[in-house]
Amino acid sequence: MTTATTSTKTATFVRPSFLRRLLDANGLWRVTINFGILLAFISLGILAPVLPLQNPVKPNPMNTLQPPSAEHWFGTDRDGMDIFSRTIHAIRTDFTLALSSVLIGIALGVPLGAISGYYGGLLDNVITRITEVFQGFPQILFGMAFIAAAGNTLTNVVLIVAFYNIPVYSKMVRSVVVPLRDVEFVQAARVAGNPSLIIVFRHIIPNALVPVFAQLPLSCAYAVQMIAGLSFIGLGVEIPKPEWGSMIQVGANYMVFGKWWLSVFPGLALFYSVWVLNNISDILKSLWSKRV
Amino acid sequence: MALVDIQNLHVKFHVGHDTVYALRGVYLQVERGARTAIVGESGSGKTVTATSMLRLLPPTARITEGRILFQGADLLALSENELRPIRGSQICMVFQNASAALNPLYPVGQQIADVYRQHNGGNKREAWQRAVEVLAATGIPHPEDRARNYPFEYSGGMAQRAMIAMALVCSPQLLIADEPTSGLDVTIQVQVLDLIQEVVEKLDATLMLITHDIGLVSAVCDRVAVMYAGTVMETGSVSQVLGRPANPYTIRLLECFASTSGEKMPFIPGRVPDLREQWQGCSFAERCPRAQDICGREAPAVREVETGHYSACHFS
Repeated sequence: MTTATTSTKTATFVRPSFLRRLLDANGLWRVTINFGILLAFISLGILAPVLPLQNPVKPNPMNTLQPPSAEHWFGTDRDGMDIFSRTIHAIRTDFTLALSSVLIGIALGVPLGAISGYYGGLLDNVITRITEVFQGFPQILFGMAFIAAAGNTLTNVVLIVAFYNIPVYSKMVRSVVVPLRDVEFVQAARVAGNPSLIIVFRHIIPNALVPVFAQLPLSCAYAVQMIAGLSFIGLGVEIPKPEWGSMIQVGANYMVFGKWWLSVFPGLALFYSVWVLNNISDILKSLWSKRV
Repeated sequence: MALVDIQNLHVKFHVGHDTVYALRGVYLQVERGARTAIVGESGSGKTVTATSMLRLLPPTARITEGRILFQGADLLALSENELRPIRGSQICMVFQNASAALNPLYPVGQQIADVYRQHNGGNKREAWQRAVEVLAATGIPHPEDRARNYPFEYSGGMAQRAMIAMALVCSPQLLIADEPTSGLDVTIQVQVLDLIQEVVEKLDATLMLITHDIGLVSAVCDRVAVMYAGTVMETGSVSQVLGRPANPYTIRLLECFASTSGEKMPFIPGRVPDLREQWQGCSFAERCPRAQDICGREAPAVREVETGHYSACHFS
């Protein structure tokens, strides 16, 4: 007993590392597989231009609609372009578009939610109602209308998806900020004479970011789906540029003729990326909810 | 002119469908340099009075009537922007739960340095130096290392010291300490109180100590105001109020504290009135042994019993 007490006196509690807690909460396999696949996706996307792949946008009229072979692992499409190379290159398009739209959504949604939660009252009501109106509007329809009005460019696609991320983050942050508003350290910051904007950006937002990080991969998954969906109906990414949605759309016409490889491979890539991002969001959530 | 002059302050809270009348006409004067204690039971309105002064009341609260004059200016009439320079640099507050009053995401030293720069400018290095100095001045061991620690690495007593250090860099004219020692060990309580007194002396500031511990009052303060159910019952110097209490409530309250040897602890019969109701007469009438008809009909006016000693009672 005496030895036990003396040993506890000297031992100090060391917070387990981020990775340690991640593994403890989710198990080795779940973490390795999901992060492994995501890492593979990302590194393939980054390395695509230097990998020994065939040119993803070079048509070959002599070699269209070839089934998978040693030369073309995933076969070729309507224009004779190599589907394997296109699927890999599409990671670049889809992931960058998705990530940038989510980051824009966070950059605008987080301050908006924090301000609406902190100030409350009329301002809060106006911001919340406006974001609700946007959320209630059908997204594909909004996308089509926006692109019809503003032109079919990648920037516009990013803006549309970003736009739909703003309410997600503003509402989430607002829900965390409302209870934080009357917490003692916020009161203390007000007593110290800080202006409201400094309180919001320095004391409130950093304390409200935890759910934002857990939501980020989920939003990316959603954004990948949305971008692929918009391209599928011909909005945004135009055809020679490799992108999963438009590749699936081209292949869809040939499905009935038994030329399955045109749609299935980009479809699988889309499926796995969304699945992995969802899982990672789940893994991160379990980590943070355990802490509370 | 008194440093703080609270006149007829009324505050109500909307809680669900009920309205709680928390303050019902508070009159309170704090002279410059005086150490004033506000004592009272839970729910008597001590903290509400203090938080109204800094306009930190929760959104459910409304100040319906009254004025709070600070150096002659009405704090309730100022805009947020006009109030900001007063908060911190002129009025500072030490909270009950100091560990919660520090932002968990930044090192303690940095938070103190931020407050310093807010009020005095200067570069980061200077501010950090100053933060370490004040931490040292408040008796935190190894201040250079401790300044780099996060609030969760501080004990309750250390967090309270850090809050006092923060008040020290602000050098306010008025320091409000809202139950600064509750939740601390008795030995630490003494140290924290000594430290508060030391700081007040060093800054030549005025102290408002909010407490429910009458023992503290005589140890720390010169003047005392006794609150009950949203009104101030009695004010005066410590020796007057504790030695020759004039108000029946104070008399009964002190009886409960005085007898420590007794077989049975004395108590005030009856219950604190329901603050959701409004009444005409004296708040203490129902429990008062001296109550007459007039006590239920008319709120007693404040009268001066002796020089500087005021009591709100028809019969004192």
